[in-house]
This record gives sequence, C-alpha cells and structure tokens, in this order.
Amino acid sequence: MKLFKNADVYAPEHLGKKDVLVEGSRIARIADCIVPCGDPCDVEIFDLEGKRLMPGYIDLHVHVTGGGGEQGPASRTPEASLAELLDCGVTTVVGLLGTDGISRSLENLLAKVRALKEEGITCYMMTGSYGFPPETLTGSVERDIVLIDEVIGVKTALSDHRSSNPRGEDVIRLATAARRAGLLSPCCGIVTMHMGSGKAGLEPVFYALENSDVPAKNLLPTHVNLRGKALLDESIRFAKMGGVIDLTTGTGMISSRELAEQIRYCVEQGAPLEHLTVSSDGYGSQPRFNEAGECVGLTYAASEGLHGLMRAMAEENVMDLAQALTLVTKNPASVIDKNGVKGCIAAGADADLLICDENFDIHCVVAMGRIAVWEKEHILKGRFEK
Amino acid sequence: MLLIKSADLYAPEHLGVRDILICGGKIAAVGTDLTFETNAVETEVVDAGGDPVVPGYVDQHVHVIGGGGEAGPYSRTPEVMLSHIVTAGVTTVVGVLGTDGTTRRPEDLLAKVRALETEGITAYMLTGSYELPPVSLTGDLRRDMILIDKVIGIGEVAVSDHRSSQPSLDELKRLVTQARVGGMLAGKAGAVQFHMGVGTAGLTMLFRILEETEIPARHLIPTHVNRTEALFEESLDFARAGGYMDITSGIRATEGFEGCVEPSRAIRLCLEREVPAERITMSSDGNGCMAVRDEEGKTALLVTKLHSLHEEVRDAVRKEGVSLSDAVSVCSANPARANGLWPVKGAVRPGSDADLLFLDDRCSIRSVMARGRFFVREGKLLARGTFE
Repeated sequence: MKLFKNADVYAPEHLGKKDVLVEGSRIARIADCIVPCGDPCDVEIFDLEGKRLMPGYIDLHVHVTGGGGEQGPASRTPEASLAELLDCGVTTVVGLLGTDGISRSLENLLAKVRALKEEGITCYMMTGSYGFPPETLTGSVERDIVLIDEVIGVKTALSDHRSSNPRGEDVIRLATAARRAGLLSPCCGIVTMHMGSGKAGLEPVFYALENSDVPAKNLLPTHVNLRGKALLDESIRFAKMGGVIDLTTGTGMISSRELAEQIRYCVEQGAPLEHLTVSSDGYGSQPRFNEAGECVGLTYAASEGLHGLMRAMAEENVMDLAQALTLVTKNPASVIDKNGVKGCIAAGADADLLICDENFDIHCVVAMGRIAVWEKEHILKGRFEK
Repeated sequence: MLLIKSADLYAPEHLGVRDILICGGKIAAVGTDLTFETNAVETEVVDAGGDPVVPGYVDQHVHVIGGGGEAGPYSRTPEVMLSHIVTAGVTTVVGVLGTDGTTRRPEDLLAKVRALETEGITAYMLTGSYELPPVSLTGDLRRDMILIDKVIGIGEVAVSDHRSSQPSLDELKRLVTQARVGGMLAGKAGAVQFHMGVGTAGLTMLFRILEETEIPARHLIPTHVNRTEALFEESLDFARAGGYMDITSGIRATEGFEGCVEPSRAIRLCLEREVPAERITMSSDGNGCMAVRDEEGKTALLVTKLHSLHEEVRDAVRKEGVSLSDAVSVCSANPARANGLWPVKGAVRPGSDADLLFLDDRCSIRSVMARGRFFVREGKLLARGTFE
C-alpha cells in the first residue's frame, strides 16, 4: 500500500488538497486525511507537500516498434523505450503501425506491447496499418479484435498519397467490422484514421455517417491539425456531429504553442472539449514532402509533446490545467472505453499517477501502483535499459 | 482488505496456525498475530477457527465448453457453469477440447475462458484437440501460443486411443517442439497434454520422445494415466524420468471405469513408489462424457464433474493416509508449476493470488475464495455466472 499525503489533486477536475491511498494496482481511497497505522502490511508514505498529482497521460498514437521508412531502411525510426515514455508522463499507450506494414509486422507490434506491459505500463494496439484491405494477425480485423486481448481497433489511412485511397463504402465496412468485434470482445472497436493532406479530406467519413448506421464514436480521425485549415474545419464539424477528433503534437511540424492555439480555435468554433484528444504520433517519422511529392526531410519525436502542450496551454491562457488535462487523460480514456479506470484519479481507478513540482516538471510517475520514476530517477526499468 | 485469523495453513506445505492478510485480490502478508488498523480502508476479519486453509485448486483439464459427442450430437455434454467450478473448490481452470475438434472450436473455448475470467475466477486454455494435424486459432499452434494470451499449452492430443489420429513419432516430436519454442517466445510453460487411451502402445511414444530428442521431459503431461493398472505402472516410470503424470479424478470404478486405479489410491501409490512428489498432478476431466452401464447392462451417459477432484483429495487423506499437504499439492502447486503459473497460483505466500479453500475438520470444503472474493461461504453459494 502506498499513501500520498498532501497532494494537490487534479482528477483531472481540481479537487484541491487530498490524501490518495493506493492498494495494489488501484486507487483505494481519496480523502482529506487518511491515517495509516499498519503492522503487517507496510504502508509507504509519501508527503507531496502540495505538489500537483494528476492522472498519467494516455497516448492514443505511438509507433512503439518504430515507424517511418519513407526514405528506405535507413529512415526507419527506433522503437520506444519504457524510460522515454515514462519521462513523457505516459502510463497508457496505444501502439500502431504506420506507412510500413511490410517490414514492420503486427506480430512484432504485439510482442512489443506485451513487453511494455510486463515492464509495468498499460498498452493496447491497433491491427492494420496504412494499407486497405488491412494487414492482420489472424486473417481478419474482426478475429484480431475478438481473439487478441490487446487489439482494440484497426488503423487505416485516408486522403493521403501513402494510403490505399479507401472510399466511403470501405470506411463503412471497416468500421462495421471493428464495431461488431468491439461488441463481442468487448472493447472500444474503433477505426483510427491517419488523415493526410489529400483532396478528399474527411469526405469518406461523412459518407459513412450519412449512408450507414456506424456511430461516430467508432471513428477517430487523427493528425487533423497538421494538414491546414480546411481539414481542421471539417474535423470540427465532425466533432459537433458526435465524433472525437485527435490532434497531434510533435516537434518537427508544429510547436506546442501553435497546437494550443489550434485547440483554442476548435473550442471557439464550437467543438465540444470532451470530443477532443491529443496524441503524440511518438516514434513515427514526420517526413516533409516538397511540391513534387519528394521526401525532403525526416524527424521523429517521443511523447514529450503531451506534457509540453499542458505547459503551453497554461502559458497561452487557453484554458486552466483541469480542462487541458482532459485532452490527454479523461477524453482518450473515454475513446478506448476505459472511463473510470484510466485517465482519472478516483477510487477504483488504476493507480497511474503523475506528480509535478512547482515548475510543472514531472517529478514522479506511478504506473499501475508501482513507483516508476521518483524524483526524476528511473525506478522501473526496461530489461535492456541501464 | 480482508484479514483471516487462525488458519491452519497449508501453503500447500504445512505451516501451522497463521493469519493471512488479503489486499486487492492478492495475499499481502502471512504471519502470526497480524493486526491491521487504519481509517484508510475497511478491514473485514474472518476467523478460520483453526481449521485448514489450502490453495484453491488448479484444474488443468476441464471441457469448459462441454465435450463428448461420441454417440452423435445428442451426446454432446453441456458447458460448465461458474457455480459448478467454484463449489468444486476450483479457482483456476485450464479449458481443453477433446474428441470433437469439428463442432467444438478453439474460438468457442477462448470466448468461454474470457467469460469465466470476467465472472471472477482464473481461466486459461490449451490449443489443439485430439487430432493431428491440429485445430488452431491462427493456423499454427506456435502462433496461437505466442499471439493469444490465454493459450498456455497444447492439448489434449490423443495417443494410444482409437479416437486418435494415430500420430507418428515424428509428428509428436514436432508438436512438443512447437509447444516448447512457442512457450519460450511467449513466456509460458509450453506443455503438451496427451490424452492416453487404452491402446496397448501405452506411453511408448512419449518415452521415445524423451530418448530421441533433447526436449525436457517437463513439457510432456500424459493424462488419464490411472485408466488401467498397466498404464499407471508405465506412468510411474515416466514421472521418475522427469515427466509429469496426470491422474484423472473422474476415472473411478463408480463412474464406469472397471480396472482403473482409484485416484485416491493412485496418489498414495505414487508417493510410496518414490515418484518425485512435484511430478504428480490430478485433474478432473470435468464436463466430459462418461458411459456407465447399469445393472441390466444398459448404457447411460453422464457428465463428469469437477467435484471428483476434492472427493479424491479427501479420500486420499481419510482413507489412504496421505498427508493433506501432499494430497492438496497434486491439484494446486504441482499443476500450477506444470503450467508455469506458480507461485501466483497454487501457493499461499505474499504476492500469490488470494485463491483459498477453507476446509472443516472433516476435510469438507466450507468456503471458497477466488482472487480475494468469496464465491462460497459456509456452504452457501454467493456468486453465479451471468446466466445462472
């Protein structure tokens, strides 16, 4: 058992000064004052002296086995490490493939997801990659979602020169399969759609909503903020129709301040805040293409943009911390059907905690009730990390 | 939080009177005179009154979606319900397919295993069935073991049985290799359970695998070994050679198996004949099909029960003079080890799952706890499956 005393709790709503008791991997209780006096079962007590305690971040879009490859093998980005994810404050990741579904396999992704789980954080994955029909582990998207515990949805690419140009009918079929499998599994059964800068924009998504009974909640367009105002405006329209849109951080293409301004714009244009999420696209390459469609540069980043965005939201006075946190905690938890379990500080929820000091630096990370980072020192380590 | 006071603890080694503290579905502490007072969480205290507490049983061979079918569709046995499992003292099951790998599929089995987990106990499965080439989830047994978290081994593959595929030695060698390598890559035990029939070849093929390959013997678990005296004798040698021997508690004269070695007696004989104690396991073959002849010679079909497991443990203790620790080990610590689940399962020590059986002084089950929750308390069933 672990007792965190005198925490300034953001649940993500601001609860003020509380004590938080962790029992095993879960939060057992939150109260003004919890007094332990245990003999057999050691209760470790941590006095946070008013430091902020918030839910661990959920990153819906991480290429945990690495991505890229758009300029050949040498441009393949490296795989994720536990240490880097923890440094970014991330305690739950959804791993997925990208452009490369040939030299990056789903088998490899599943094994990496299992390894990260064993190392101590929570990890899910998407089947499929950019291509359509999608790559799978078992021969079908539905079988992957139903049979493999970690698989909670499928990834595809829309309106991008690297996509297979799926049409509205294809989106309907894919989303129907994901939804049906999600009901049987049970899990969220979503389609994560990499949005490119193609002419069609979100058109196939609107087509699916208008011509089928697929609920908007099963469709998650991502990178909607990286392709210009037209796509962002379309996405805001989608959010108003009940969908969730996922914005992408990343050092190469956009700064935290720009992203904070984009979120302000979305909310001002009437997108409900609870329909917005932010993910990192971590370990994916962020290639830059010239007008001829030639790749002229590559960068990659881990998940650090999530915490950077939280800082920028405060500095730019976009919204208060409690509201900003929902973008990377409560809202993504809702997307993956983990309300009340992930992305919140509440009795019964998984004990995934971030503790930030007065400078808003990540001071400590707790993952599934285990101290992962303490005073910026790594306690929980991957097997091959020093 | 739950504090159990004054348990005569078999962990399954006999520790004497101990208190057990349970926190979040796991054993947090085992000791003498434990006390725990805090305003943080409610702590319930349960007095075991000095009666025995043993680990919940790990039943490594249960037809959780039903089995049988050997006399046509009407003879297909029903699936097992949660209440049937927990009242038998079983808190971990390993689901298997049997003769029928055609109308029973591993997909059904996986779904049932996941359902039992949701209902509160622990469940795993084996991939494959009696036949070779095997049925699988992903087209390949090794892939099944690596990709599907719940698949911990292969089985039950039939040998020396008229319902088997008459597998060749080479086929069986390859099969065991798949289990071993699949297990390594998945971080699982990777054992193969062999359904042993009455065929005269007995364990010959299994011995030859040990002799002709470098595969460790622990990957081979022949089951139903108490079916005949001759098979039982062979299996003693097999266990001495480092393999496992799995006694089936449902194989008893009262259930139509004339000429079998009664399970409780088999446990005593194994120990007397100096088989390494940790190599002896017992499973129920629950929800399979048994054909029983009545006095007039008519055949009736029965569904086997998981309850035979504890009945045979009790008989081993009360009639055969086996210690409670040894008797309980064959269906807790030993199968947990064989399947790579020990000491989370089949043990009562800090960090183990809180799967406990509370016995009375006559060695009957009073209460059953799985993952820290009472499913049976003082003989009363507290939780049922979704559709019970």
